Amino acid sequence: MVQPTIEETCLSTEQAITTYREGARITDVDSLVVEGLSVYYETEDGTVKAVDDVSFTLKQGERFALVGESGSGKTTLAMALMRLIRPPGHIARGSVTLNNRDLTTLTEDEMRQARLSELSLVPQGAMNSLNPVMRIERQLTDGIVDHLADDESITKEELSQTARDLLTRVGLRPEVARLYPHELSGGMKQRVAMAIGISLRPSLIIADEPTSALDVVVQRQIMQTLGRLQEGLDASIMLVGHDMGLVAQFADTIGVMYAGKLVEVGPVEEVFSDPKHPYTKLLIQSLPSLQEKKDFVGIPGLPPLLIHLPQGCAFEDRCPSRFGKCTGTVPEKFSVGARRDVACFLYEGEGAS
Amino acid sequence: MSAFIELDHVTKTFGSSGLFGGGSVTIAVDDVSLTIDEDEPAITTVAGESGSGKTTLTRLLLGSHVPTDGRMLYRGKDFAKLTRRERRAFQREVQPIFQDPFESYNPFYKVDHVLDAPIKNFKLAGSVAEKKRMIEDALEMVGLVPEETLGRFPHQLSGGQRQRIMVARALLLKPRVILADEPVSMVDASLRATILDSIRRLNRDLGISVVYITHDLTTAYQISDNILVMYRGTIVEAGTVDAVIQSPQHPYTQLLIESIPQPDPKNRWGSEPPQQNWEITDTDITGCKFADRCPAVMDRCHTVRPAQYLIGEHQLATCLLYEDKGEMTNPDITSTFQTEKQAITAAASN
Repeated sequence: MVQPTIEETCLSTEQAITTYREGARITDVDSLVVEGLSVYYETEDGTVKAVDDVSFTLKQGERFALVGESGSGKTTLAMALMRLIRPPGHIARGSVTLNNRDLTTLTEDEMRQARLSELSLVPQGAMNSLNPVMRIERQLTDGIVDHLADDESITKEELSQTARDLLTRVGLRPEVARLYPHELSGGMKQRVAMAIGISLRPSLIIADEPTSALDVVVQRQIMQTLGRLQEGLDASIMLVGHDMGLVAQFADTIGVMYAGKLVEVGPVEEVFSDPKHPYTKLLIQSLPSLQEKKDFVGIPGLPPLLIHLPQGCAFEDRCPSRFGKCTGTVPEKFSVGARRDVACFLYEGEGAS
Repeated sequence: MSAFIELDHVTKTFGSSGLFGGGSVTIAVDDVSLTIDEDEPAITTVAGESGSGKTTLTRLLLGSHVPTDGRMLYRGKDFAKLTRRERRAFQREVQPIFQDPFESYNPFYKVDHVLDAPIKNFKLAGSVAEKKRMIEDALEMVGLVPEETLGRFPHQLSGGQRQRIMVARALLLKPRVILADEPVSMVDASLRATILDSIRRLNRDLGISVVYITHDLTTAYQISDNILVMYRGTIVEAGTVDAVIQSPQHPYTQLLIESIPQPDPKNRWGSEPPQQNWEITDTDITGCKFADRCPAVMDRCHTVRPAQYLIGEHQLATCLLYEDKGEMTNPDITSTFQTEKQAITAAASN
């Protein structure tokens, strides 16, 4: 399952420009199917429903962005897909099917093999995730060595060559392999973290706020490199973050999380031009623009504590469109178009999915 | 017009080319002249990428870095020659707000501590009751409810609330200038609005000058009057935000603005821009510092260092493309600035 030498799948920058989202290779094959996924934390004060009954599908080659404010459960969801939830948290319900295999049923050993080779995580603050006393080359190839089958072996030269290839693909010079993390800038470290993420050619890359501490030009370069790598691998991407601008620039599909629930899913262009859920509407309205000066509008109020969720819709107390039904019942998902779902009673008439 | 702080041809370098320095010198701030005015309090943005020198510029303005070359003046006096009393006044009148609303707190103390300390330190209150009133006023000024804020530990408050307490802390000292270094970059997008709004109110209602250091040009455009853009220590473009953001002239500013992830899926980024080459040290560059990444580069750019050229009444660019516009006679980049009030007065007199 290991390819010691990575063939040249990397597009040159020029090619990348022409393919960039133009004719994006989104196939009709389901790559990731998440169904009814719930992650609960059992605490002394009760159960915290960090992720509650979340379902969505990612096609092969698709870029899916998961947005929401701090504490909405987006990082927990990403960690749950990797099966990296630590006690007292646990996956309470649901399935995560990647390439027709339910990850939640794998043994710990099988899951360990699946990580990096089938799905990989470029973690939040990836620049701080590198080991400060290990050369970049070791960190790049550690995963490869770990995933070798018992009867496989790989020479030092091959590993070294692989590390150099990986660095070139993420836009770094091969000599970076000999350096330590402190010798690199934030953007360069982020590139190294991406190189580790693609080292075993996964079919799903989960990127959790990959550019949150970087400035705009570097952010753009990193996101465009990530997109190029993804297209080279024919992989799908799940981007986790709260920067709506980045999502608009990068993603094909967007999922909006609020208080542990996925409240709206749809194609990025449709959701931005015609948001349905009142929370999504406010989120998009509150974005500052370069076109006109206006007063800052935030969303009034704070999200509910996940341990004391209201009986009805979690957004009810902040919602400008609430009505009687919202207080007592949690809205299910209603379909409002092709691959477009909203969890809000305003759209109940349009047919449940 | 009375100048509160003036930088007069200030340069700050790190490292040394002397006997023991490996020969690598970083010019963090390169020959900058500017004025922070007291009578016309404005919000000024300092923009640029990591390593552009914007934080060094802030530290110079805070008085925590000493210029390698040039002078800093505080109320017309050379900063290096201030008396103890004057320096103390300066420390009260110029207040920083930092990026990380988590690290500014000691987790073992209640949030009251950060508000008590400056009052005690500068002996601002005569009695306990007066202290309490001052703290409550400052919290209300930034939109916090004192009863819901005081007596709590930092972890019990949201990032947005913590950052607003930092704004309140700065307020207690009745400063003339607030230096806010990326005050919202660590805060959720939905909470940014409230913090920026409280900063804007300080300027409008209390007449405090604000220097807003950021790489986020969208919020800069929304909140500030003027902007200066830095690249490798040089101010490459400056002027009113309306001029600079709506019609950027320097190729670097153009790249910055083009790279802003606009929340519009129909208007996506163009091709991937080249990376900065940190191999070239600052002292190696004889021409324009942006030449190696510039899409509009000309042969001369590699050898000739551009001066500040005046593009319009309220905009300058340090780029040879605008050489024919003529070099600025006044090196003070803030001479291109204008506050909203001045703009209104100017429009009325026309």
